[in-house]
Formats: sequence, structure tokens, C-alpha cells
Amino acid sequence: MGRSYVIGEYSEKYLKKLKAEERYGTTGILLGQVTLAKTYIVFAARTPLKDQAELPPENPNEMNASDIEWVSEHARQVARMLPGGILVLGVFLIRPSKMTKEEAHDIFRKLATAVEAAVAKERLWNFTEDETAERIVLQVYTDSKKMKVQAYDLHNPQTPIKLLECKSSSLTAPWQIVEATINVDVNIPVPVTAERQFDKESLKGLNNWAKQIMQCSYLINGQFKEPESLLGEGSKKKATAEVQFLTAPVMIIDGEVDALIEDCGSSVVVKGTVRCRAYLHGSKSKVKDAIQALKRDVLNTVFIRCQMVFEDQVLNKNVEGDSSSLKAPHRIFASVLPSGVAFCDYGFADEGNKEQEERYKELLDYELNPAQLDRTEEVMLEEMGTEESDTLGRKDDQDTTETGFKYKDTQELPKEPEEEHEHSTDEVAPSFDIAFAATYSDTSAEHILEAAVEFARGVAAAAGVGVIAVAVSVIYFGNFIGASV
Amino acid sequence: MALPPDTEYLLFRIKGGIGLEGFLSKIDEASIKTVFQEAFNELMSKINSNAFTLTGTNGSFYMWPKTHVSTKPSELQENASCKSILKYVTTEVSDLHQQDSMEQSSKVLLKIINLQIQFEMTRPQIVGRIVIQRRNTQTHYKLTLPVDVLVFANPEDPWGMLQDHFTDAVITQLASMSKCIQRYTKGKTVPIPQAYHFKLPNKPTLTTVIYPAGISDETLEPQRKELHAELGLTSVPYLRRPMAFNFPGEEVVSDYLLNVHEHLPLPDPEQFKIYLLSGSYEFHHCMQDNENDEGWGALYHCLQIIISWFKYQGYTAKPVPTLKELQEMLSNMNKDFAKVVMAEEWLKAEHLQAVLRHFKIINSLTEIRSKAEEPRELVPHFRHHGTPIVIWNKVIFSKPKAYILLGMAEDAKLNTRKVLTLSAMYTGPDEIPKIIEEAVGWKGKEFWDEMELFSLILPQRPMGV
Repeated sequence: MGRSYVIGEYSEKYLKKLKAEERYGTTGILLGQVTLAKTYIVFAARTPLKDQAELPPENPNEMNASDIEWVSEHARQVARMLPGGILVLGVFLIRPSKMTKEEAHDIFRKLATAVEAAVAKERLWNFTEDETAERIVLQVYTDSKKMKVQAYDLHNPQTPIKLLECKSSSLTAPWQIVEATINVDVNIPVPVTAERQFDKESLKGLNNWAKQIMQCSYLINGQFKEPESLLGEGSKKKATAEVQFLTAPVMIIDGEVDALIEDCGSSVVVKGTVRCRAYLHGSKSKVKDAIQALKRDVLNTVFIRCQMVFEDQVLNKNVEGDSSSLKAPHRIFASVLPSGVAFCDYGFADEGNKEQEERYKELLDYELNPAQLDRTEEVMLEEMGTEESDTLGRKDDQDTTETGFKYKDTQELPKEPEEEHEHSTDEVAPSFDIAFAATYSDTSAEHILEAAVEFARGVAAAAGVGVIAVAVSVIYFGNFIGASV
Repeated sequence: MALPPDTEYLLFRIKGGIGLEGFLSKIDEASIKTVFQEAFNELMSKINSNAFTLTGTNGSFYMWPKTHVSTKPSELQENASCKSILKYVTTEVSDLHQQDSMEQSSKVLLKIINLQIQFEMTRPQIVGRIVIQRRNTQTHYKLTLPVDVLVFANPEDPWGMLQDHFTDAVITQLASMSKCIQRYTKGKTVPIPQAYHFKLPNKPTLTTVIYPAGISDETLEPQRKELHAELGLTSVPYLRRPMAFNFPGEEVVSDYLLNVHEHLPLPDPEQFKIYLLSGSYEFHHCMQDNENDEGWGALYHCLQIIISWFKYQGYTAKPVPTLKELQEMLSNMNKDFAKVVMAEEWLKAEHLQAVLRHFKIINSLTEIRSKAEEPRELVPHFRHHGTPIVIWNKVIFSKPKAYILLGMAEDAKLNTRKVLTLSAMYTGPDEIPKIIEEAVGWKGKEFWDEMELFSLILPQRPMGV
């Protein structure tokens, strides 16, 4: 039957607060979990303001492509902060009272679609056929207590839009947690044809690894459990379940006689240990859902770390060089909701809490207390692992400091972006100019280039966090447009 | 030394495809060999770690041989007898024919437990931050090792000890596979090492040999000679690849029944010394495949049986010819043969030998006149060559007959002999019970009386192992 939507206490309170601040036209992101019958909204965060600190257009109908892109970019960055089981569900809007009854369908659908597309770029996995493609736009009415959900089926644009009520529920009861520590060891041959865009090509090699992960077998708390059985069965209520993953046996191909030995232009090896986590709502979650959510988290966290390293490389133009060994950031969780659901962020070895606090404020509009930070992975890497001394670590990061890489102390979180981030924007934008122009001589792409660079400047200024990520995504975005023109 | 008969042994078969993958910067033969050696060393230490996991084929039982941990810890303790595992895994049944130094034949029952190799990703040996390494101009290598390890166990052996055997056995096989690659890698071609299991006469259990894929049995003769010397085997082949032991579910697929004589009980080993052919053959006979050849086709089928034996022992890659193909072959050889073929006449020695020559099967022909002399040279033939023998009698005074001889049994005390015969004249269906009843049998003096004046063709096994 129809899907029902449940909104949690935190999100309701937050949206009411925004409404009270009379920030009409504010848009933001909704986060939560999609289960078979219900979708749970656990968190909401307004999209940060653009550079001129201008308020968003009062009438959503006035949103233009750049505004939609802005929201999608926010969604994409937030997606990097999510543990397994939690997704970007869609967008919310504080509906101005003057808005007419005609719903801005077109814009809303575009928003929902753009957000999902942006978030999908961060994934090495796809939804299965039986998973819903419904994403939402939640409208918060200023003149009443109403909150209406408009649900769009992104796979079938012809499906009529559903207008639903949102049920309230506290959602503060603890969620089930599954965790695992995984060793990653992936060898990716990069064909000779892939040249400068080595990051994209190289990361394609992760697809094979991703498939293997999705197929591997598992044990929960040291025992085998049937996929259809309940996760919470037969064990202490709501205790964190530790999962073990085992590689599925490799198929032996009949008739294969010799080893494969082939030339490749270069090679990329991704090696190391990551800590993964997924959250499941309620006590009726099945083992197979928990395992799927956790496996997807494995893929997400490795992919995101690789992307971050490569984005940094592109920015610093460290593309050439015969061989390089780049350290990826480690993961830090922060338990944000009363139900225990945590978000995560990535940091390098020598960073303090300030970066985390800034990021949470900017992207999630949440005041983080350093006590909430869970640095288990970092501690594990230091104690058990092959962490080199800080001096070496620092060297890797030296190159990135000047360009305003997010994890350095030098960043101040801007309220009036123009003044404080001159140097970083200057460094960022021109290099993109050049790079972009060099690859696309097509003049029709020029004006898009202009807009894109403008955007880069704006975004770079406003979001102290994820400068590089955003800027590079512009290249991708630009490339996408260039290609289709 | 043979395993006492009538005991059931546990045979653990540990299988899995293990991927070896990485990069090389130089691609000359020496660098390739070095890289593979290193990869194997790394793999062997991975097996010797707690990442190495074995699971039953039904997917719910897991064990870690290194740490002696399993998903059934209370039931499978260190001192529990290893047969306790039978509750958690599925098994198959097979048997091994034993031939000890007295050349007695007996059977040992095996319960086969198949285990899959898996590696745990969540218990890393070395924990480290994710590092992304990039290198230019590389060569990528990738190889899937078809690991197939056998561990025999007495059901009463302690479980704890057995797990160490598993680890050791897998490491031993990897070391052999590494040696195989080192020996047979030429230039940029690295053959995949494959495991074959053989039943050897002087060993109670199966022996595993690693051979490189894609290299013919002929080329591998030097390796086999070395193995024969190591294992104390005579110069009779035992280690040719087609002679490998067939596990249940992996039997050779053939349109014809194989080794039908194995369904027949042997004569009392207390009384008789038994000498059987070695290896496998297909049973071809009259009225098979809708051929209407009753009365004249038996010797064609004897040829098919002989050729099939050479095929299964890997001496010829040519398929066993059909009746029509044999007729064509003979007709093409010479005009007189063609006439015989056309007339559907009983074949003669010259025809048989001509076909065998075509298949490069060397043979010796004997014509024995006196019926009273049971040819004793059959015993050394079976011992040395182990090939099936064609016997047929002259046509003039009696109905022609043709048989294949598969073995001989000698009673030293009473000085009597029996011979195992397979009738190519059988016209019944391809069903074992009927075949046992009518086509195969141990026969004594009455057989020789029946055959009167007969001829024998003794195919020779090619030299070498």
C-alpha cells in the first residue's frame, strides 16, 4: 500500500524553530531511513546561505537552476556525513504565507531529482528494484501547524504526485547498531588511455571490489544468522552487533590456463582499515537489511575517502609524479540524536575538534559538543596500526594548507564570507578557469563556465567546509554540461 | 600398509579459488617469477593467520583453523573426536580400492566433507589508515589459484589437532603451486597450477600432485619420472592426469558405461592373487546405438574398448570412433578390407592390427593352438601393461566369439586360474544388473574349453610414465 511518513521530534522542533524565525523560502535537507512500509525523517538541516548572505527567494517558483544546484550541493556534502541506513530523503521548504495554492510542482520535482542525483554520485552501489524511488519535498506551512509531504517517484515521472500528512513520533528510542572493522586491499589497474582525469578512471576500479563486498558472507556476533531472521532475536536488546565479513569464494573459470598479465598505464592500490556502522530503526529489522545497510556503508566510506584524496590532488595539481602514497582521512562519528544515530566526518591525524564543530554547524546546523565525538577509529589506527609519526603526516598536508583545505586550523567559519576568504577563493577559482578552458574549447560552454566559476567562488566562500570538494564538483558538473552540449 | 578394511574414514576436501593480484614494474621472466614467489609467501602467511576461514558447503558452519575457533565452540572442543563435525556439514560417500603388497584388493569407505576457503576481512592483521598508492607504467597480474587440498582423518582423531593439519596442508599445497609456477613459467606465460589426486598402489590414501595447466602430459614426463622416484613407484604410469581419482559428482562424463567390471565382486582374496587391468575403459558392445551388428560386430567393439582405454589414460586425444567410422577407416585403408567391411564379415587379426596401428597402439599378436594351455603370460601382461586384451577364436569349426580380458586370478595352491571376461557380443541394454549377469564374469577352465583355438592381441602401454 502507500508509504507513510513519520517525522521525529528533533526535525519537528527544528522546523518549527525556522518557521518562528520567519525565514520563508528557506530550504534544507531531510535525512532519515527508508524501510519497507515507512520512511522515518530523523533530521533536518537548512541549506547554508550563499555568499551575499542573501535570503532565499520567498517564492519557491523563483528558484533558478543555480539555487537548485546549491541545494543539491549541500545534499551531496551532507551525504558524506551519513552512516549506513541513513539517506538523504529530500528537501524541506518553509512555505511563505503569500504563496498561492498552486504548488510549484515543476520546481519541487526538479529539486527532489537534483538532490537525489547529486547524492547518487557519492555511491558505488545502486538501489535494488524493490527499494522505493520515492523522495520528498516537505512543506512547512507558516500559517498553521501543517506539514505536508509531497512524494515524487523519481523513476516514474508520470506517477501522480502524492500529497501526504506526516505523522509525528518522537523517534527517540535507541536504534539498533551494527558495526564492523574492515580491511580493504584493492588493486586497480588503470588503462593507458586514462590520462589526467586519473581519479575518475581509477575509482572505477572500485566497482569490482564493490560487487565483491555486496556478495560476501557475514557473521553476526560470531554466529551465522539467516537473512530473513530478525536482527534483535536471541540477543540482548539493542546491543551493538559486531559483524564479520568473509570474502565469497572466487569462481574458478573452466578452461583458464594462464595467469593474466597485461599492461596498464598505471596502478592504484587502496589499502587500509576502516570502521563502519549502520543504524536500523525499531526492533523488527531483518538481518539482511542490516547487512545490506552496513555493506553500503563500507562502500560509502572507502569511496568518499578516496574521492577526498583525489579531489585534494587535483586541486594541488599533484597529478604528475611517478609514484605517490596518499593518506586518506580517518572517520569520526558524533552521536547527534537521542536515538543514538550518529553522523560522521573525516579528518586527518593532527586535527582538533574545531574543524568538526565548524562543519556540523555549517552543514547540519547543529551545535556540536566535542564530548560527542567518537574517535574510535583514530585511536584504533594509532594503537594497533601502522600510523607514522606526526611529522610525516604533517608533510602530506603541507601542500594543501595554502589552498584552504578544510581541515586546517587556518579556516575561520564565515558569516560575511567576502572579507575572510579572499585568499582561498582567489586560489581556487582561477585554477579552475584554466583547467576547464583547456579541456573544453567549445565556445557554447563558455557562459556555463562563467556561471560555474561564479558558483565556485560563492560556494568556496560560504561553506568553509568542503571547499575543495565543492569546487571540484563544479568541474564534474561543468564537464557534464559540456559533454551534453 | 593398507587401512584396515571396513572402516569409514573422513576425507576433508578443502577447496577454494584464491586470487593473486598485483602489479609489476618489469616484465621479464625473472621479475615475474620473483613477484609470484613474493605473492605466494604473502598468501601462505595469510593462511597461517586468523583471516583464514573454512566453511561447510551449506553456509552455516564456520571455523578458523589458526585460532581453533568455530561457530559451534561448545560442541567442537579441542579433544572432541573430529567426527563431531559431521552434525554440521553435509557429506558425500566414496570408496577407495586398495591394493596392498600382497596385491589383495579391498575397499575403504570414505565420508567426504567439502570445505570452502574464505578469508575474513574484518579481523585484519595489520591495521592501518587507508592509503592510496599510485604508480606509473605498471603491468597488472591476476591469477586465481584453484586450491584443492585433501586431509584424511580417522573419525576418532581429536578435533584440535585436525585444524592444525588443515592449515599445514593448505600451506604445503601453496608451496607446491609456487614451485610449479617457478618451474614452468616461460617468458610472460604463467601457467595456472592445478591439483590432481591419485590413488597409488603403495599408499593407503590419495596423493596430490600439482601440474601446470595448458601443458601436455608428454611434456610433463620428466616431472612424473621424478615423482615416481620420490614415491617409490615402478615404471608403470600412475600419475598421468586422466588417471586422477574421481570424486562423487566429478565422474568422467561418457555416453557409455565405464569399468563395468567394478560392479562384480572379486574372487576370494584369501584364495586368489588378483591381477586386474589398470585405468578406465568404456563398454562397447553389439546392438548399441541402434547398430544392427549382431553376429559380426563384436571385434569392432573390442577395438573401441581398447581405444577407449588409451583415451582415458591420456595416450591419445582422438575420440573413440563409432562403428561406422571404423568401417570407413578400414575401407579407406585398402580394397580387400573394404570388401570385408561391406560383407559385414567377422574381422581378422590383420584388420585389428591395422586399426590399432592407426591409433599408434603397439600390440603383439599371439595365435595359440592348443586349448589346454591357459596362457599364463597374461599375468605379467596385466602387471606390466595393465591394458585390456582382445581374445577371439577362429571361425571355421565353431561360432565366432570375441571377448575382452580384463584380469586374471591365480590360486597358487590349487594351481587354478580364473580370467575376467567382458563379452563384446552382448546385445542387451546398457544396464548394470543385466550386464553383470550376462556380459562380465570370472571364468575358469570352461572358458578356455569354449574358446578352443584362439588368438590374442595384447596392446602395449607406451614406454615411460
